[in-house]
Amino acid sequence: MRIPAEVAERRVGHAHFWERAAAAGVTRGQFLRRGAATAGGLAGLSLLRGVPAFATSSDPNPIAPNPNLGGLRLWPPGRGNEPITITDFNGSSGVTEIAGTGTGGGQTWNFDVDMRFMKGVYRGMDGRIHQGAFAFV
Amino acid sequence: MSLVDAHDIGNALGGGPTDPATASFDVRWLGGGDRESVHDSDVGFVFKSVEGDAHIDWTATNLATGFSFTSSPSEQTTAFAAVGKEQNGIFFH
Repeated sequence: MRIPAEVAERRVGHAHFWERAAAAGVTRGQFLRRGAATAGGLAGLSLLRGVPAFATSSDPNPIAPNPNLGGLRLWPPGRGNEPITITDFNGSSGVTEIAGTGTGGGQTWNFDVDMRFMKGVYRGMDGRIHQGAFAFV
Repeated sequence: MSLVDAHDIGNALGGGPTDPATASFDVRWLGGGDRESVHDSDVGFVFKSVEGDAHIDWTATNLATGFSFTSSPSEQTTAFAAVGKEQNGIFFH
């Protein structure tokens, strides 16, 4: 995702990812269709959708829908919020939202990223306990 | 990793055209902040964590246009970062 510096607001205090998504009037259906583009590193778009691609796979199940985000199966980064996107999980996890700048094509660009990881044991769609690591990018 | 460049958030979430791309990420949780223990019976999870800043170095390249982005290691702002241990679902008590 690239946001030209000249059209983005100041980096400090600018709208964060989920605020921009809401401001863009993005519907849940639109998010689900294009979620893979934005959440490219998520362990399967089906986690956001909540629809098992393969009911017998070892893939993890998504968390329950978040009513505050139109039923999406994630919570924004923040104290007190569920930090991960899979359920039946026991392990290490991390969540962060970072803003900064970078360069490309001779210009300066702003970025705002939501990054998460999950590493531990989980119950898969097949009902069995597995060990694995996943990322939300 | 392989992904797509959707150019902007509206296009990304609205189903517009995309280009093939690659990206790499190196994220570090620095800790050193408050220690928090959340036990949320409504959502159903326990998260014992340490907060603090985080840092990311990342690059991305649009394979169709050749555009390449490299993040700056300086002047990053952490809106939120926490790393710790979590249990949810069948492991939540």
